[in-house]
Amino acid sequence: MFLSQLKDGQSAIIKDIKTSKKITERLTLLGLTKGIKITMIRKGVFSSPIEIKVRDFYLAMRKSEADKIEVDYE
Amino acid sequence: MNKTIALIGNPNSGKTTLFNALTGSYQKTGNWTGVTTEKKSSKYKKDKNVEIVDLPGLYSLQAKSIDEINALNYLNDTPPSVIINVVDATNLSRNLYLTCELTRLGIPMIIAVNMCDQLESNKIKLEEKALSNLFGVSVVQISALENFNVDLLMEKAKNERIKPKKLFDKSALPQDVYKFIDKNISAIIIEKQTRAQKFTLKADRVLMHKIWGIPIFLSVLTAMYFLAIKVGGIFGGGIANFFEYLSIITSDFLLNNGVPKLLVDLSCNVIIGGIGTVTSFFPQILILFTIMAIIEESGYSSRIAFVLDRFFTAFGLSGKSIIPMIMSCGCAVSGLMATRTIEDLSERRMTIFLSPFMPCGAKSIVFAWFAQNFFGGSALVATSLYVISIICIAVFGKLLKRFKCFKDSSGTFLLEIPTLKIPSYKDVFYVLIDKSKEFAVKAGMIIFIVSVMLWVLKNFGVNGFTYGIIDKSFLYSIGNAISWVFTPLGFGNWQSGVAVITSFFAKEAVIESLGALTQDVGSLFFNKCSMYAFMSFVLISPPCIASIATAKKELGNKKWFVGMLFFQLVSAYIVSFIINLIGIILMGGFGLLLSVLIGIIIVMTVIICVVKLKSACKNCQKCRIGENKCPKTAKRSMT
Repeated sequence: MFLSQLKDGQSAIIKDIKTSKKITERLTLLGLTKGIKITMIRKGVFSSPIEIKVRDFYLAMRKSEADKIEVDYE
Repeated sequence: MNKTIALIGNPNSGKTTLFNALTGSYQKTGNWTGVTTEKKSSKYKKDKNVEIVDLPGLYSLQAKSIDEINALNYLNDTPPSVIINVVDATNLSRNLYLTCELTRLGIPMIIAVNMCDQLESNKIKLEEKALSNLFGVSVVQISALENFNVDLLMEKAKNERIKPKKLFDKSALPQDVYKFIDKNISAIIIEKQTRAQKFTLKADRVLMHKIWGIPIFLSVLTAMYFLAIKVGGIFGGGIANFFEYLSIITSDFLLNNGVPKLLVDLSCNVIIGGIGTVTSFFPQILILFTIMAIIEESGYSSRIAFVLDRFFTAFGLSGKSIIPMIMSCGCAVSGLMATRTIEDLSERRMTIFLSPFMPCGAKSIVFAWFAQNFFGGSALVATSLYVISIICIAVFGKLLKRFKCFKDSSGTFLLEIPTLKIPSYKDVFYVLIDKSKEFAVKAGMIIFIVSVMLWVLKNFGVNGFTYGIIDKSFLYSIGNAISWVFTPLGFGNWQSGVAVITSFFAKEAVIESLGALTQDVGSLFFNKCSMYAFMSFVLISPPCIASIATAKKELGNKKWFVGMLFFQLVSAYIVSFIINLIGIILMGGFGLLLSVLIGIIIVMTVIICVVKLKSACKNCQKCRIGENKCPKTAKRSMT
């Protein structure tokens, strides 16, 4: 399943990031590495952008990216 | 012996607050509201032999955007004596990534763990020793906001000679660095319970709400304008009265002492009057900037970007361009500087083209002045400038997208949402001091020069002194020479022409020059609609000489710069024309039909140019989907 499918407040573990190389690189630099816990905080209008919590900070991203981040329940 | 100490850390780690605490009133260089985009340096307030440099916030040393590249170039070209790595105690694991990368620079370093005041309430315990041992450097727990341990930090930093352990080399992968951090973090951060930033989460539930987010943002804007324009206007009125009084007293005094009338006119009406006009806007600008600074420093601007992103994507704009645009509401120059955080070049250019459409402080003053004097103080007219500029950004943004060079400019939207905080009064204060200085320079130099020039051009002509006959003046000739351009817009007279020219120097000059050139400003315009068309032209055309110069510097290319000026002027013309056209249709002024026809021809030519410039696909010259997606290209490559 993918990050965008999480409901508000749900947490999961990052399994794989399948965005373009450039974006994957940036996400990794921000600490979105495999095996790290990620929590959905809220979704905007029509599910984009979304706010997530990872490594004690909050990050906003679009659905188009969240659709390509594969996650697993803990 | 002089020492340089550089402050390096993630965005939102509180570097600038620390910088302000360390340098105090010695701060000299420009501090652009909120985001540091250029390095700032100043002397340490307790030891002037120590220079402190504040660099833009970095997530890593793998530079992508212009501000990051600038920071990295600085570190490589002129390595500082000591690095103070500012890390956020409440978000340590990501902050330590940069620390890991910094170790490979081989520069003596000290880690300042900021926001320590929040550790206790978050039920975290920081093992200072473990952190210190991991990197082989000293660690100081500080709170820049509460000025806690800041002097201790500097005492240690001044004499620091120990270089950190070289943990990684350049080839290390980010995943491996994070693995290293994850392995060690449990020894540094202890008693980590499930912590929640209760206040931020609760407030965000409202501020970033799906439905209420945008109305709340609009109410904040309206409140800001009400406070700035109305409340500021009360103080401004007092200042204006004072200068008027001063001007009358001085002119009486000078005339009684036999000073020639012409000189009295210059010194009293032009110089005192001009300074008075500008100074009377000062309270409004000051209030506007205070609120803008609070929005920036509190972290609300990221929330605005969050709720507006959806709206902006619909018009083909990227979410990253929102923050420069919000900042342009205060001053276009800060907005243009803030585009440096945008990584994608074409996205950045597009934002530079579009963000000056936002109503900056000076533009809103012009609007408020017209609203006050000719529209019975209508709040609708005063706030309509927002509607117009947002529509313009949407429509012209879409139009720009048609050009090949802007095609793939809607970059990604990855934005940290920082913890909401009450901004430190010091940070807001320093922003204000800076803005006031800027305003003083603008008022003292540009408006002063413009008013003196206007006066000279008004009183002299080809045949020398005009003796008050305005038709013989240079100004009349200049205004007349260009006024035909504005006829289709409904203000084809020489006074408006001159006012438009002065508006490129500084928007406030419009009020000054209209006042100087005519007794009855209302009579310059055919009707209220053409007056509104004039206001819109002023709103959308390039904001001021400082912003034009900044845009040129930021674009770094003459072709793009000329393109931008052309684009902004044409946009202003089209909008203004449409507004005047609506006025003519509504009010039935058919006598101006000819001018309308001229306007239509001009607008059509522009549109045809734009359509022609659209990149037609080479395969058939008919469709415009582009060669990459053209089915014919695909077929050809198949066979």
